[in-house]
Amino acid sequence: MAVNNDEIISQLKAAAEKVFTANLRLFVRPVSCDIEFEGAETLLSTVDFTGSLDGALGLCLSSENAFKIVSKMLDADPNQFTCDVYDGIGEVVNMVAGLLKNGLSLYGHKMQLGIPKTREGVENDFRVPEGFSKVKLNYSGSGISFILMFVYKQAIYES
Amino acid sequence: MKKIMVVEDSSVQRKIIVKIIQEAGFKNEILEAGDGNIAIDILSEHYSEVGLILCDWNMPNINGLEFIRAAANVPAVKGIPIIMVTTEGTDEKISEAKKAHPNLAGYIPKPFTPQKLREVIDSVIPKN
Repeated sequence: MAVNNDEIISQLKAAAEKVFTANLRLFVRPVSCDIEFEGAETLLSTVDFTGSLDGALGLCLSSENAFKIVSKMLDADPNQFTCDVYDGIGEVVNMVAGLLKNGLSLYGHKMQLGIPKTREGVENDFRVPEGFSKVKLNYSGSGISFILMFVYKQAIYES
Repeated sequence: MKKIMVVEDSSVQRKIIVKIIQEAGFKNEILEAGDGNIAIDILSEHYSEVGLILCDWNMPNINGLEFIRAAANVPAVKGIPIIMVTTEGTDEKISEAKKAHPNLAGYIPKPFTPQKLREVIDSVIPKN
């Protein structure tokens, strides 16, 4: 049942690659340097996980990059869908969360996903409760950059 | 010509699905619902006109599984084919959906390609 941090990172990377590169054709890659948004308006989109592994997945990115991603999703001019940006980024996080959940099910974890929530926010708004671990991945490429974060706590089972 | 109903809480995902259906050459009118509650309301009025339902799983209020389970118990609508389009892609979830509705005609895990969606719809309803 237990899954270690490296395995979670591997599953998260696989999920992100499938959504951003394979599906959206945005060729982003994990980068070692921290992503800085330098005063730009940023969005934070999250999906809660509950079950044998509790936690949440978060995506933080600038509003400008959120527009670019949703523009790619809809194949449309960003000016045509202002009200859809929060919804579209929520759907991106939802797809990454779904794939991560499916990947973690290979380790025996059973979880339920919450409904995506998107709001204005920064990386530090994505809190790590006491006793939870955090994975953070910085991504860049195709003219966009973002931070993917996953906070989690595994249920303890007696053997 | 029967209508296609898209039940999906993300307005962006609904737009993507509708666009794929229209660009694939299906001329069916499309009904859109943002959750299972709205879908039930629409179906109660238009059930005889609907020929296919595309349904997400994780939605607020009544989720997709609850919706298809309810649809399976209504004689007038249980014959309408349903395709699940969802992030819930584990074998366990697929099996759960199949048990919930005997007329589950397809299961498309997100993210999906336009080609995949077209192929599955093609297999259920003829292009007009």
